[in-house]
Amino acid sequence: MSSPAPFDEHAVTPLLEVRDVSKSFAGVQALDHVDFAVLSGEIHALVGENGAGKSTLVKMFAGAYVPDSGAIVVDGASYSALTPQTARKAGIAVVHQEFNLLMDMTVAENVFLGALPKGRFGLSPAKAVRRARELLDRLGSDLDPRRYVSELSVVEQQLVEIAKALAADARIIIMDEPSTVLSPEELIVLYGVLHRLRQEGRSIIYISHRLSEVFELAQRVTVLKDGRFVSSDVTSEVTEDELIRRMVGRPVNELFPHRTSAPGAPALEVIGLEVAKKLFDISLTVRAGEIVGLAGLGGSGRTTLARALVGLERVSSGTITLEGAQLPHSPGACARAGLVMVPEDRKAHGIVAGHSVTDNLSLPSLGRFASLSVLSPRRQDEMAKRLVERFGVRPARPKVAIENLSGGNQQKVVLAKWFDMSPKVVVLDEPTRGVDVGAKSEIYSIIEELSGTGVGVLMASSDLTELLGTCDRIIVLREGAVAADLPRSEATEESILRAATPTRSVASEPAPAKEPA
Amino acid sequence: MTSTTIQKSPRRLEISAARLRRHGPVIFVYALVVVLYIVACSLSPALGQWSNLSEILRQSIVLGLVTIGQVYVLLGGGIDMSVGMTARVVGLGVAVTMGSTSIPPFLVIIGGLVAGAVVGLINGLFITRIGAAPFIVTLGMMGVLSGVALAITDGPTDVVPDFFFTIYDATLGPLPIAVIAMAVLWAVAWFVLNRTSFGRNVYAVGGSASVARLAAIRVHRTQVWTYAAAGVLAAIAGIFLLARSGVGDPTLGQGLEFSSIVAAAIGGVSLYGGRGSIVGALGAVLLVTMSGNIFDFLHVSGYFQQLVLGIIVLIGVSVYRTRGRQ
Repeated sequence: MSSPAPFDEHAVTPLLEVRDVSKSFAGVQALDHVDFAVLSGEIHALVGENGAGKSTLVKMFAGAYVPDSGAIVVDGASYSALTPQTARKAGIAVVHQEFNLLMDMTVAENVFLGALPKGRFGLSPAKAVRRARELLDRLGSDLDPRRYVSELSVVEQQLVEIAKALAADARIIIMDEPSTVLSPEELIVLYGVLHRLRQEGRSIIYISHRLSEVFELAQRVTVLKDGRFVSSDVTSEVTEDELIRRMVGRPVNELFPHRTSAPGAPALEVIGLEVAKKLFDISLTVRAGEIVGLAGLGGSGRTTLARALVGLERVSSGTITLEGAQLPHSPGACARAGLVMVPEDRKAHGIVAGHSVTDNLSLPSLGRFASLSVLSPRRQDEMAKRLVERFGVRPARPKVAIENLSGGNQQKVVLAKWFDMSPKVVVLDEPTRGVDVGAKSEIYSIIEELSGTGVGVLMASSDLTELLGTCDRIIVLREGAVAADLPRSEATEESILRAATPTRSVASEPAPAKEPA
Repeated sequence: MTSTTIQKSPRRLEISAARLRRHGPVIFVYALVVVLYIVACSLSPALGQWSNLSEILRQSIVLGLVTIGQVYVLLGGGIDMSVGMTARVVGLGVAVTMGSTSIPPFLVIIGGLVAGAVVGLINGLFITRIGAAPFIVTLGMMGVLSGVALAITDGPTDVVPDFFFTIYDATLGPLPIAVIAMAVLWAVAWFVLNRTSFGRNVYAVGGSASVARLAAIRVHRTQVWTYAAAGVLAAIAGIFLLARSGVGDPTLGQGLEFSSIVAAAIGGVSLYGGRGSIVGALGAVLLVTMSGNIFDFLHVSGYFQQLVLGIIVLIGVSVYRTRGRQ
């Protein structure tokens, strides 16, 4: 049984297939001899935990990654690797979590990007608008193609992405975890769109780690785990429990350290914090030794809040105190006072590329290695060696330039450098984004260790599994305001999502007829 | 049907408000042009007369040529610091070749344009193949070319053949032919940017190279062509400058890289790429030329003019920046 596709006996040929594909990054095996096949006219769910290899596989279909070995077969034609051009020609379109749209162009231009319709004299914007409107109609949306993408809501932008796929006449449309950016109402709109596409005979690969969606939407489901193919089944022939068992393969909490926390006195207190148009009346407390999660949909203000705490956003009102003392409004001064923020974009704000691990580690506390402003390399080296060992940074060579480390190890360095400053509260924004599973688990241990020494941790994340696994308490943001403050015992994926979802209806309804008058 | 039309009218209003915001810089620039014209008329009726206006248009040609090229490069996400020196090398090269050889002038001019294209291609290839920063590559090119210009001549060259002056002087009805040619060039520049795939690709590449790449747009090729276009246009500017002065002046084209970037920025072209319009740039070129005309009338020194130009940039950039943030 080398080919696992269960429909083979019906002589249905797969539209898209990967055979025995492997891919590794810096020694981490992201895909390990994976087989996977999509039939025409089906919605095929691809499920697995974070780090199971779903995204790697998608990037391969998009032509962004070259497989180390194996073949990608599209409609009978075999490729050792796809490029963006061949993928497009073969009829594959990917709707990524982060949209590939040009903000300063109109909907119509984005839809036909690279293939704008021509009129009698050069390109015809009017024709582009008309044809974009037709495509959007087919998707059941009345979005105006003349609007600029920068003005659109998330679900509207997603529609533009799908319209883009249709414009390229894509036969295989890959949706990369749409549920992480859409509210449940918006998802229903999306489901409608996907069913229409399927009726047109197109195939959809729907990536998710939420199983309820799989049973609602997909005809077949494939499970990946730790970069390996586990199973492909007709959805009606498997149970949710069975899928969970295959996805997880071990108890979920094994990834996370076991917590025995005893939160102390309030360390960080925020009262009535407002940032114009972004945050409204935010009040929260983080106690010493406590890990508080910050959940919310994209755009709910998680990152804004993290930035506002250390003075990176202009605060219009409210007070932020650390152990009773008013906090200054600059990141540097906050760090000296004991509040440290580890930002989301590691490359832009977390590491200094081109410098060694040692340099990066000693950056926030250079003063301590200096006598009369002259740095002591010996003392720096000692500290770096100590931290690298303690946090398990690999390779364990402090002299190596930091950009040569994997994402997970870079993040360990970023965390370690603050650890040595003995902060009182640490604010983390997406601490494990772009980090592989193994390093994730180690980062959780570091966070756990931090809180064990009495440091308060506020952790903003879009990964609910991660929040549920590490936090003592989860604060849910919705449209810039605190929607819920859930203790660990009450926090579940469902309760968080319910609190995070705006109650009013979404901006782009499927059809005016369905609206209540 | 009635319900949909009722629904659509407020949305259309919304769109035009968004358009207005988006085209703010362009409207701002043309409003300033009008204000400046009124100021000029109040200073002296002579400044408002047609003869002076057509002179302003003719004065705007050199800056206009270079700015069009600069706008293409900027929209594509680059910057070209070498345009001024390209104009100088081509202008001096053409002057010296025509003075000292018997090559037909027509071929000499063609040669000058090819030289401009080659400079642009080299810029573009260095930037895309080697992945070096556009600013540094073109700054290096600027240095190389200023050396080449010195090697060609370090003093004024011989006077160019008589027919050469007609490039500058010939008129058709009330307008200099050069101005008409320039107007056509602006129109072509607009058409290429807005009505050809290449033009829209330039916007896409400057807006986000990775998005453009995924849309199967040849990012590097597009960028290389923007530099080539800037090179050719700078070469035309150099030849035109030569026609204006009649002799190859070794300071020819001084500061054009700066003033072209200034004009693009005032016209609302983003220095980060992907955003801006040729219409705005035209307004900015007219604005800069008109203010120079008024300063000349008032006998304000060239140094002071530079200073004012710099201040306008700083004000303009901060105005657009705060708007962009909202």
